[in-house]
Amino acid sequence: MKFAHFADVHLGYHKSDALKELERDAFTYSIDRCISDNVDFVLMCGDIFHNNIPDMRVQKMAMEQFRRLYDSGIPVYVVYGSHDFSPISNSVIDLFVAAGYMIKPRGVALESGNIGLEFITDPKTGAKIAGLGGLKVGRDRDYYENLERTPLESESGFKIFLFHGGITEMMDTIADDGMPVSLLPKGFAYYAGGHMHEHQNEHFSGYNHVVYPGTLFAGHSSDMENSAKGQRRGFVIVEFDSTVKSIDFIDVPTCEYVLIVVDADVQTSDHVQDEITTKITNISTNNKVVILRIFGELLSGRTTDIDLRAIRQQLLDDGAIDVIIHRREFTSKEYDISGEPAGTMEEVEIKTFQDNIKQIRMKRDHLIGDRGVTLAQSILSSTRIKQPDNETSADYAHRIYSDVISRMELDVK
Amino acid sequence: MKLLSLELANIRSYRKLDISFPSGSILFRGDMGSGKSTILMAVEFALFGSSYLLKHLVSKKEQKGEVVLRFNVDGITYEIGRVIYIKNNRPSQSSKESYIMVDGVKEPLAISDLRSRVLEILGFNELANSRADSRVYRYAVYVPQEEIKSIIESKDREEIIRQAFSMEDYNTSIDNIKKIVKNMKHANEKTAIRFERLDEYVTKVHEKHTLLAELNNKILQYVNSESKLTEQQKSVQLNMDKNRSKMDEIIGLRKERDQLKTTISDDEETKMSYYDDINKQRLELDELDVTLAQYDNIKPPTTKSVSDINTELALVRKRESIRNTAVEKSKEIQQKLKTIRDQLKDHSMADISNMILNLESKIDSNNLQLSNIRDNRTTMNHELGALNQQARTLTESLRRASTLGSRCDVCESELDPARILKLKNTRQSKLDDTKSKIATANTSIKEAQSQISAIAEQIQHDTENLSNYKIMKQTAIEETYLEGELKTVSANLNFITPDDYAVDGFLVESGESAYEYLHRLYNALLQYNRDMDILAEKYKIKATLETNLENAQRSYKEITSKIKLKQNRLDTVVLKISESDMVEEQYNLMHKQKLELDNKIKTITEKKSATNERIILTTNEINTLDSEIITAKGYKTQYDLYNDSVEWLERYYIRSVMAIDRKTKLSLRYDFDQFYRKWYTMLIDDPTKSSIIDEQFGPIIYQDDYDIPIDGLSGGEKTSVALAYRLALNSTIRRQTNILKSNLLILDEPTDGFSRHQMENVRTIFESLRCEQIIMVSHEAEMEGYVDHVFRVTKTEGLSSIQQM
Repeated sequence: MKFAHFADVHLGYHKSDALKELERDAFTYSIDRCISDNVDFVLMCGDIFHNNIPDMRVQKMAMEQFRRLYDSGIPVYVVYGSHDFSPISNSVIDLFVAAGYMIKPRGVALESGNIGLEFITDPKTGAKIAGLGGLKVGRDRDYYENLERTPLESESGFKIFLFHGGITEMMDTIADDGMPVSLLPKGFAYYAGGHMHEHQNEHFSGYNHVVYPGTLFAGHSSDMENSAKGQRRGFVIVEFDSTVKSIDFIDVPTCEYVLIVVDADVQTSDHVQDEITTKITNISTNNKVVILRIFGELLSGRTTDIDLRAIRQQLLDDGAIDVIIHRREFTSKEYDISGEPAGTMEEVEIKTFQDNIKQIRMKRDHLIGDRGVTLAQSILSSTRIKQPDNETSADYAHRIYSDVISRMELDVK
Repeated sequence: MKLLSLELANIRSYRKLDISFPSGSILFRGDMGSGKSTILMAVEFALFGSSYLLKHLVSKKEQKGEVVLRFNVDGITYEIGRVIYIKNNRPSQSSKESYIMVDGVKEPLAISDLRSRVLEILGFNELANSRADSRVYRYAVYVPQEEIKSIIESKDREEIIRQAFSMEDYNTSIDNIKKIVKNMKHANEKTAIRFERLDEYVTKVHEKHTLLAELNNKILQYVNSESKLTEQQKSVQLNMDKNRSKMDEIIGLRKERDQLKTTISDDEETKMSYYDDINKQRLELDELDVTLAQYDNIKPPTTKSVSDINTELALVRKRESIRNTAVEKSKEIQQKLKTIRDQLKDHSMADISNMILNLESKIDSNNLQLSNIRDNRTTMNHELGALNQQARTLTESLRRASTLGSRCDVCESELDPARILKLKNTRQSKLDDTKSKIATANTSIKEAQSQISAIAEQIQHDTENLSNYKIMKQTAIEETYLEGELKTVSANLNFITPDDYAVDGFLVESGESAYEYLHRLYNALLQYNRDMDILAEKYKIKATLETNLENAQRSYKEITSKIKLKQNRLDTVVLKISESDMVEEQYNLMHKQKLELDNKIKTITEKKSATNERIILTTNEINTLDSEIITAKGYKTQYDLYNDSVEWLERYYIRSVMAIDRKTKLSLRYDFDQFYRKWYTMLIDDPTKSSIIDEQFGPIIYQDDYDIPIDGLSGGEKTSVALAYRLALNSTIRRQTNILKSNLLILDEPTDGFSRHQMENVRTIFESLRCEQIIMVSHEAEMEGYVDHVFRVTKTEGLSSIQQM
């Protein structure tokens, strides 16, 4: 007996046509494998869809694939994920459940105020399935803390627990949406997880086989960056009788990636532009997803001097499937606005003139001190006005020149 | 800026409209196409007269449309009226009827000036351009819904924002100041040239004063030296005059000495040439004497003269010739005799004569016999002829008898055969007899003929012999003659012999002929005569040489004595000159002294004059320099003044304005970013998405830290970004500058695609904006609850109307 375990498919995540196609192909391939490998049932542990109500295109595509499983007599057991669930609105999952293409284990509010979960027994294999969906950030923890664990843990048979959420012990970083493994009910043969996008398979005391299959293709831009770094993408097929016999990761073919990393720290914008140009010229990007990561603080120039829109367009023109840009950590020292606001323009003008007059040493009284500041303001007011339409360039230049000469008291012989 | 009222006549779907705008938020709500946007278009057109609006404003089928807008800026009320006429389907603004009224006072302005005036009132820092709109207005006040995205993605967005915030001012000022600084520097470069030699002038003037003092000092020294030298010069001159006549004599002697030396030298040369001449003549005479001695032994070869020898030679030649002829003749005769004797063999003359006589008689006898025989033969021939005739006649008669038939031919009588036979026999017998006689005759003739031939042959033989004997007889006669001839010749030869040559001195025994002897003698005599001629010539030459020698010897003696005389005179002169050496030495010394003094005085005079000139020059130079110094000092003061000002402008002013530019830009972006993020967060629900404003005032949207292109946003998200951007821009302008007089905000369908939740947020946003006046156009009924004033726009039968709720 065997089942397939999916999570974080994120159907409808991608916006570009090329990626939409890859997303669809990856999913279709996976369904093909389930049917050809004769799995007895399929588990989908949250975030099957990227939104609670995805586009009609996505719903239609999903409907076709789930119907194939249904027609093949393969039941699909699901829980909500954080993306395809909305606390205030409907979820497309309910539509598929209502249509009979998916089966969702139920939870019930008990009189004690705790939450009880009901098992569903798979008719063909007799596996007993219970689970709890994911919520928005950190909210799951409350549910698990109020979970009625005893009936779950005392149930006999081959038990599977479906969940969607991060297990702190399996996370690289401390995130606020994680929970300790101990919050899960003990004694299940297989813990089918979702939410973590990288495939993992861990054992803890009382918890055999806590497994995340990871995302199928990409439910997040960082997934593609991780794919580019070599992370595997696919799902899991588990063989079992009374216990788990084997867990196989099934790689799903997607596409090739190119990762371009640019460290802009203590460089000029020209230099960074050159570096990017050189890199994209020297790397083959045709028919690949390009991930461009720029970080660091420019010594001079603006971050916008790097024409990322043009670079992106050039890569696409050169045949890239798509271009994913990460520049959140790319800043410019010269144009840093993280400091205190300087005030209005007039305030800035007078303050700057005042500050700078202290730096200059001149013999003549009218060029220094308050007189100097007043002179600077007067010259600014006179010279900031553009050449009017009704004045020739020569007249304008002459007028401004005479005006400044006069203000600086240079016209007295 | 606050809008007060808008009046329309025949504008799009409005036949007549007159609305007042209250303060606070105002919503024009109506269905799509009800005429909401016309209000916004009319406001923009009233302000700027935008040409792209002009085309669409006047109601169909109408010829004239009017817009009047009243608004308030800083407490002053303005009213702008614009009138549009349609002529030939082309709209145009009426310059006459368009106006601006300021606090009730009308300012008649041309269309373009009207717009400039509005830009000025609103503080929009942009130049009037031909497009006749305001980009600042389009950014800060009102953006049509369909143009929102283009503003966000626009490339010249930064520039327009700079304009809106008057930030171009700083660059303008810096550009102007840079040009001014350049001009000032340029002017100062010229000024610098004018005093660049000031220090040099000061140094120079000082040097010149020192120089002047030195020159005056020198003049005094020169005057002093000059008077001393002049005195010395006078004393020397006096002594020199005293020695003068002695010196003249010596000069004369010297001249003579030099002349004498020259003539003596010339004479010596002439003397030497005479000497050479004498030697040459002597040498030639000696050589001639040797040659003459060779002729002493020559003697005459004979006593005979040349003509004697010639006479003898002629005689000898004649005799020789005769003798030679005789010898030849003798030889010839002897040869002939020999031939004849061979022919005669041993026949004598008598024998030959007998033989001739015998032969002549024999021949005569034979001739006689021959003639007889011939006569006989002729007779026999005649007889034979007759016999032959007879034979032929008989033969004929026989033939005729044979042919006779039985009848006679003549008489035709019968013939008797027997008779015929008998006749035949007779005739046959006669014929046979005749034939026998003929044969006999023929034989006799033949015999005669042979006798004739034999005798004729004998005659011929004898005749030939006779002829030969006759020739022999002739030869024998000739022999006899020749023998006589030979005897004569031999006699002659004996007569002419060499012994007979009577030549003087010739000796037969010598072996040479007399002729050879005479010839040799002749040649020797000729040679002797030639030698004698040459000898005579040589003696003539010798005489000439001897004359020349004598002449040369005489001249030599003469020139030698002349030289001697001149030499004596020279010795006298030289002696005299040597005696006067002392006088000259003294004179020369004095002369030298005088020359030196002259030179010294001349030098000093020159120096004095030059020094005086230098004094004048230096004084002039000092005056010029003093005036240059005064001028240069004036320029230097001006230069320093400009230089300070340039330094101040460059180091203080430009740097400050650049800092102001940078700081205000940062400050502006800081404000903008703060406002934008605030509005964005309020409008967008998705916590994975965030947005900031980049250095070029462009919005960047992130999802989980990765960029999302604007295209990747949903319609509602785009509207949110656009609204947040617009509100941030407006708020920043109001906060940052009071130059820009527009605190009005016009929003065109700002909530298109918004969720209910977002709409609720919009209300909160409007409240926090604290804008004096917000004008909104929307089809969303829900918006009515979020604003202070609602105008409902409806359209019936193509005409729009507005009702305030």
